[in-house]
Amino acid sequence: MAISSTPVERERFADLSNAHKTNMFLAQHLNRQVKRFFADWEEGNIDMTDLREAISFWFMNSELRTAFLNVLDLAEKYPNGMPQQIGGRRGKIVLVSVSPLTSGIFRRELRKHLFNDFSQRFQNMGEVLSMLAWLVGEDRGGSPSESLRSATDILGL
Amino acid sequence: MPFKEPDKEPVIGKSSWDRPGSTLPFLGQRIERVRSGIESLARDEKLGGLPSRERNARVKMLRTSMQLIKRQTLSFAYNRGVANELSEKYDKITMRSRRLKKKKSRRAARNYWLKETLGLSDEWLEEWHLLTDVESAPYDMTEDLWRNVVVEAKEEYLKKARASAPVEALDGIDAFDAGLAELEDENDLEDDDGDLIDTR
Repeated sequence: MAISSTPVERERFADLSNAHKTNMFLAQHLNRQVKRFFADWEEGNIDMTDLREAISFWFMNSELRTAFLNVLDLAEKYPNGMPQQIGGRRGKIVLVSVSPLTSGIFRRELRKHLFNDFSQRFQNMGEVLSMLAWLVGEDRGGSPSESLRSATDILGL
Repeated sequence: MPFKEPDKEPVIGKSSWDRPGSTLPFLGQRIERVRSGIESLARDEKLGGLPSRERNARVKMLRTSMQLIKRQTLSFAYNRGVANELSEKYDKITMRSRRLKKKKSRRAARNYWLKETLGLSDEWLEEWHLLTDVESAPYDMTEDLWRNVVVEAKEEYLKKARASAPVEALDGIDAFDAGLAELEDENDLEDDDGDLIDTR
């Protein structure tokens, strides 16, 4: 995927050091990637594999990653719906879809925790270029180093 | 002050109800020990930190003790027929804690229980969470998230059922909501400490 920087981005990063420029650029690119992921999700264009991959890949906090992956594992136990009794003890048993792909609450929680995770990554721990470049990578094919190269090419570094 | 478990198990169950108040001194003593145990643990942790092994052992002991307190207070709460202040008090705490767990979160319910039963102040409550959050977070998070996903799925199902039901069937669908609440109770196998099975 071709990486492009806008004039606004170039202007915004003009006063920063080269490392900072690349860092900011990659962070912004990551932001776009995550936004696109959630947009695709809302349009119904992702599947469980994509979701699992994103959770495994993006979370720095291993506890959060484990928790979200656990929920995916639980949901996958009920591909045809989870049997639930509706209408009290004598109610009927129905199959209720518990897929995280269709769950608004799961999507909101994931979004919230990803945002927190990224914020923490950038604010408290700092972020090295190699790590960011790895995270951003290329959307389809290509290696992180190519991504970083193309990023630095575009920024004229 | 190092925390120490009481040496003798309290008498729990119907026999204790034949002797009203017989478990009260023991419960009060245990509550006091847990509270001071939390406070001393938090204080030691602040004063330069404890080796993780010792800290975990003390947290584990405190949790075990809390479970015993929970069991005792539940035995009071479940005996609503016995008209005394303690029964009313713990019945109220148990009910409110369950409501919070359902309506808000497991954490809110736990906070409420800790505050009301142990008499922990906000400050010590925060200290307790700081000491224990690291190890309990993944489990709590998974369970809360999964519970929310399932409850949402049920609600979606009911919405669809309500939307597609003929007018004359709508009365019956109202029972679904009651059933939903009941189901949550039935599935509620763990209490606020996460370990005890609710046998009511």
